[in-house]
Amino acid sequence: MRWDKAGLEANMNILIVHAIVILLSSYAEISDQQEKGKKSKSPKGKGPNAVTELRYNELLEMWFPVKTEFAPKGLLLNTVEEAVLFPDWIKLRMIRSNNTRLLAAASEDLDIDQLVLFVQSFGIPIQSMT
Amino acid sequence: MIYVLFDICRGLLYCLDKAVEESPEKMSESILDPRYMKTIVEVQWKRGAKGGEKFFRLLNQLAAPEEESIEKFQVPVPYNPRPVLILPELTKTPQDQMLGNSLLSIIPLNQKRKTSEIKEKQELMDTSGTEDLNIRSLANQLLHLSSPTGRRRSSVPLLEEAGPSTHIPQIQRRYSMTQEKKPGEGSPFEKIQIGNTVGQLVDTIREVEPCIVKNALDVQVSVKEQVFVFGFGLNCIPFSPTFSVSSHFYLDARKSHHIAVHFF
Repeated sequence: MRWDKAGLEANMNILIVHAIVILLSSYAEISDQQEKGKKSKSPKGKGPNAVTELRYNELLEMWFPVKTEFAPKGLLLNTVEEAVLFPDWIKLRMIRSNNTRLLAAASEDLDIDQLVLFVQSFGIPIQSMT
Repeated sequence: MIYVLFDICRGLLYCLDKAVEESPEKMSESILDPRYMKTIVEVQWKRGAKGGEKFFRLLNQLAAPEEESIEKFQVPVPYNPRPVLILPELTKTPQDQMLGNSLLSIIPLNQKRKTSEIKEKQELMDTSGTEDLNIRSLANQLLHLSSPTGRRRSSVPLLEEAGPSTHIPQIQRRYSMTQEKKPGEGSPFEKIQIGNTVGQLVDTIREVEPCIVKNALDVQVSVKEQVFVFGFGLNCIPFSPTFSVSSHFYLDARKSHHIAVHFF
């Protein structure tokens, strides 16, 4: 993996990238709920929530930054070609998540075939549809 | 600028609209079933999703020729119904009911009868007038008499009159026969029955079909003598082995009984 802007590199399995995406997509809902819970007065869960949120935001910023220029690129080790980081099933997962940044990253460069495929799939929230 | 684009292209339907704008041909190629996609978009709109109007328009354009083709395929087939035999509804008329009743009277459903008997009855029914009824009733009575059980029943009171000294049934029968032979000593019931029925029957049969009686008389004495003989129990009928004419079955039965008695 290479972060061009930051000048960072890391060798890792593609499965780790998938796992991080799954973690982010599944955790997005929890963090949203916790945010809502914070707004509706929940002082008990303030400490750990803050920490987890921080970590979550860090991870999200690392992999799906607000500025797409800072997004990492996956390169194959042997041929140094740009690899497909997110296959269709991961993209569908990203679309299904409530995280707008994941959704934006997933729907950034979708083929028409992929679009048609995702539209036909179930369980996509209205937020991701509109 | 990028963020604005992100905001616009947030959902899949917006992305689809954008894709339709960019390359409608490719989009129309990638859609396999426009009608199905139409329903999907409609469902998403019902859920509250927004966008996808352009995509929907494209789907309509794609679906229209298909629907037309389907209609064309379905409509022009002419329907030629096969000829069907239409039977009139069965309604009960009074005539039908009468016919049914008469049939029931001829053939009682709860009783199994021999076909020969039914045939005889039908033959009797064919002739018209009050004679039919007479013949029928007489024939019934005679059948009852001529049947061995009926005969035995008639002989029972005679035995009782004769006393309890009967041990063997063969002897009993002989005794009953001898009782029968004696004029005036037979049961009055028997006398009346035989005197009335047989005479009447013979007369009516002679009127209706004289050939039967003629055949019977070829081997026997005259009808009146027969009646006399039967009525008074005189056993003076010349028994003949040529009793094969079925039309005078009553005589047959009578004689067979006598013969049986004699052989016992």
